[in-house]
Amino acid sequence: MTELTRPPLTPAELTALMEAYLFVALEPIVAVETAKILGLPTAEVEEALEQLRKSYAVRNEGGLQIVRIVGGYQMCTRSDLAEHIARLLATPASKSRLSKPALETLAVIAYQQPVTTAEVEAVRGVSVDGVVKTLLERKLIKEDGRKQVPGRPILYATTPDFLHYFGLNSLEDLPPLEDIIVPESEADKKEERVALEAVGLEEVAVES
Amino acid sequence: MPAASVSTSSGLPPVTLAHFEGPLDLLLHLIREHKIDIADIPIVQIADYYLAFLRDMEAMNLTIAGEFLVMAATLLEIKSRMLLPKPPKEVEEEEEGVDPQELLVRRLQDYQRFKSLIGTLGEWEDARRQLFFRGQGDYGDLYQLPVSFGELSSKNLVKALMTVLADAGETGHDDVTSVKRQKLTLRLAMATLWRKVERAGSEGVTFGDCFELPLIRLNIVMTFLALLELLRQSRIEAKQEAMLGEIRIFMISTIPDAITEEENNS
Repeated sequence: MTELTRPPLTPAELTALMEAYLFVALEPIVAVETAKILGLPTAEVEEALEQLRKSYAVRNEGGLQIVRIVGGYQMCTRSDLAEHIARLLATPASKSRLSKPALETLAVIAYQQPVTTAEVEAVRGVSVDGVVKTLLERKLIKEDGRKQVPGRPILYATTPDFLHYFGLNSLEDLPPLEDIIVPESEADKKEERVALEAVGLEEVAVES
Repeated sequence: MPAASVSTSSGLPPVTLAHFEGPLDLLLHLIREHKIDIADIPIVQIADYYLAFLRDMEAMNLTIAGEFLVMAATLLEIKSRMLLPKPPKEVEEEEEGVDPQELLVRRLQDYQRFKSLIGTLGEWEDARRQLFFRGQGDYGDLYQLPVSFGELSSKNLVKALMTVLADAGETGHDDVTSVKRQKLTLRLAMATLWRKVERAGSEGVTFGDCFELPLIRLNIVMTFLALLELLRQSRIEAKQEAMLGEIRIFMISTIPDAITEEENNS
């Protein structure tokens, strides 16, 4: 077997290899999978990747960083370069941010998945058909079987793209729902005032 | 979205109600506005506020979305229950599992949590958008669906055209500048191309063979335009059997009269 005759990688070589791999990889590198291919212990690969991530994080020069995302490691540009990179790549910076209803729907799906549209609607109190379609098109959610109830409604769940879109490592990064403190912030109040002004009902609401 | 968009009769600009995401949103607003403890809602009072709000919206000629009305009905149901004398305990337990008010409070609390999560998600979204990854067009509308096997994208056509043009560059005859009347019109090019494709029948014509020799830049362009026009008119179709394979042109319908006529004229 070639694997036996091949001299083992030194830690330095492994780190170099991982850096090269991070450079060319189009998707996050998962230590377990990489270790399997290389025939190395997962911990060693994980260590090498983590070392790289740290070494990129501490050095101040260079335009790249390594982030933990979707359960793996991936190389990307430093966030302070965003504006210029966007210009160079000609990506419209403000393009296609998710709308509030979309974020709200996504939040419900993320916490209660797999979930039917009826169940999401029960939480949000409004129809979510259009929003769900958008989220499907953007591949942030996917169909995940059908619920075994009359009508067999489609179940929805979030995708790895969802994690990537929000820069998350796993669903565990979402704060536990019970811990979410409902803010009584000025920003919220202001937002409501704007909403009311838009409707032109401010005085009426206060009077009633 | 429960957005009600109406042009008012008074000629005012259309008013949208999109800012309230739904009845729960509106209810939460009312609860906060009146500094009410969410766990202990004075349901009679809040139902009155809610209905008053809907009435005001109606008065302003706003269409009220169905969801808002459902909530109004729920509130009224709870209110009427409270006004009625309480039935004996055993009967109550038999009739209903969950107290509708309790249910509403729970829904409101859940909704409130999800609503406050929006801010966090938005921040994450913004932060993540500051990062650019290799090979990743932005998530969202920028991705292109892969072309299914056997079909080709317009990009492939352009690439094939470039190859032919490059050939013309080497053996081309247009390096000598001479001004003469150009004979090839688009219609003529279409007719020539059509005849060629028709003659080939089910075999089809390769993209390269579509072009008349000697290769002259203008003629290549005219033939390509003719190709596009015929494609647009669904008279021919272009197929690419293998990845990076040769593009073949096939005919679809019978001889178009317009073209043969024009050909005779010219």
